[in-house]
Amino acid sequence: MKATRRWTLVCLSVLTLAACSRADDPPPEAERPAPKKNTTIYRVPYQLTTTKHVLVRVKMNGKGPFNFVLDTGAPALFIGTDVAKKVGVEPGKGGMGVFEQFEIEGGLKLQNVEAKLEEPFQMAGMNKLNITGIRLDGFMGYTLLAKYRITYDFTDPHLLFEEIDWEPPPPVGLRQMGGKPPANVEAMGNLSKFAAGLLGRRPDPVIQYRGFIGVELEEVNDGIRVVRVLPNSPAAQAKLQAGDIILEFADKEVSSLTGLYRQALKHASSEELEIKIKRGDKESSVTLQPIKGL
Amino acid sequence: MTSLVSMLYLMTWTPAPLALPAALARAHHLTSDEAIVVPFEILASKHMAVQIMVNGQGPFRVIFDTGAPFTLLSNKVSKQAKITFTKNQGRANPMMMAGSYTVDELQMGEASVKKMPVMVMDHPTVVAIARFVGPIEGLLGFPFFARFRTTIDYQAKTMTMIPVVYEPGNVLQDMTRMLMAPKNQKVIKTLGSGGLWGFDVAKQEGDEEAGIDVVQVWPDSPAATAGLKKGDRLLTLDGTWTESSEDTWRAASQVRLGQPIEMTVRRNGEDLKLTLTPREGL
Repeated sequence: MKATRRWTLVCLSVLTLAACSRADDPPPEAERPAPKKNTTIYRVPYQLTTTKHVLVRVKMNGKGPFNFVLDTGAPALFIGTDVAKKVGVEPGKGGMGVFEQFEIEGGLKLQNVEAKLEEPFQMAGMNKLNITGIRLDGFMGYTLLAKYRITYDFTDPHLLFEEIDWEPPPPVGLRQMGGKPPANVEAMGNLSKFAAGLLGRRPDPVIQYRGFIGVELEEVNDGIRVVRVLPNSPAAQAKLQAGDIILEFADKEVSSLTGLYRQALKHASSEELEIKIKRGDKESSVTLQPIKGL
Repeated sequence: MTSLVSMLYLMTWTPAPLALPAALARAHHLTSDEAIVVPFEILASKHMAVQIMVNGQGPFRVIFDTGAPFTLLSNKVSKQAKITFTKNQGRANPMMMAGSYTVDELQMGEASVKKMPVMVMDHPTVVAIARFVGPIEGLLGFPFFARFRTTIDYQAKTMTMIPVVYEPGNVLQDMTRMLMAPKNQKVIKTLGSGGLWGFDVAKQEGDEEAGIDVVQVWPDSPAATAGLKKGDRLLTLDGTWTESSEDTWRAASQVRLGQPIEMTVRRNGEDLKLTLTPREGL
């Protein structure tokens, strides 16, 4: 049962829902109507983590990039204090900090962005466990997200951020609404940190690259045809020629480019490979020494 | 053990669209042209709240949370909507005991997802927020909205959703699998792009400047045709910052072959934009 409890805690620790407890909240303003059409749309690259968090990268005061989770469950922009320190921002009144330059990958440049300097326990927990293999530096919540019409589509490698001419009314902290920070929420944070301590940090993934061969290819009726061999490439060294048909790649039969790419991805650039080709009527095996390259 | 290793390799460290060559990741078909518009409420806590129906019961008010890897529903919803336990497949799954359930149908306006895994729990943060903003019965997370091309407009207080073909997977199962693996398990991530670009990049240890050095451009390649030169500092590839080989490969693997993309390079102190069209090849 103890183990079960531990799993639950760890799994819950990836929930980034946060309740704001900013002490000096300004009073809420009346929301402004009159939507104005603005057509600036940014294509923002993102990564989806193992934990299904949507990450975008940000450079702050020219430093970084830092990784932020897009989180409609967070009422504000949260940035860890140590990260803020790295870019020369110290917490001011109410634990807030101002970032002169805040550039979101994809060309979205903002100035004087205010953030709550605090590492929410979910972020601390996930970093401690290294669950995603990517360091999380902040959560991007309502105060920033509400300024854009954002499109999420996980079949597309970019998010769309469309600027809208609207100043979102500031958030109200739970404290100001008459409550105090719930004790059980804090207790949960402590428990999840404890669970993280028990489970330990996962190692960083080892990155390797699919090998570069140096051939241009096309799919033809009888398989995959070499269209061109780049000079000075591993393919040129192995004496591959335009017109060769690739039959096997690393001991696997290949008949489509998609299949070939899938197969190629299984082999790192340092691995020697054998491929079987057909030249004219003759079949032969060729040994290739791929290198790093795109 | 071997199967666990390969599973880890496939499931945990490989963000789905990234490690696949662009040709494989091209599942960009919409299942419908009809956009569904769903209104939402901005709570005083600045969370987004939506009304959902669970197994035809409801409506229940929940927080729409892009930061939630799973969907969480309260015990009240579970009882009213008669949510059922997920069947235990094979060996003991600790997450099942911790409350992994399946909802037959979850609807948010006209947007509907069938057979969706959820967690049933009265989460303390949700309970705390509900105390100030009125009843909240859970969090609607990734497994729901990932099935749609979702546009959130805070000003209009609407979400526009178009169904897409995307399988969000089950994060609880993935995490359990990952956490059950030995602590020092080596995880290998092979990055690669299907397609031929014809260049290589490298960064010196301790180089903290933006971008990465182009160390090789193969003659007759798409990179050579685009005018890329050895010694250029590559700053962006299709809008992605190229701070490392990893960044460069990741960005390249998401480009559709045959489609021209822009690269920014710094050459002799000047920033240039080059247009490159990767071709089929390796």
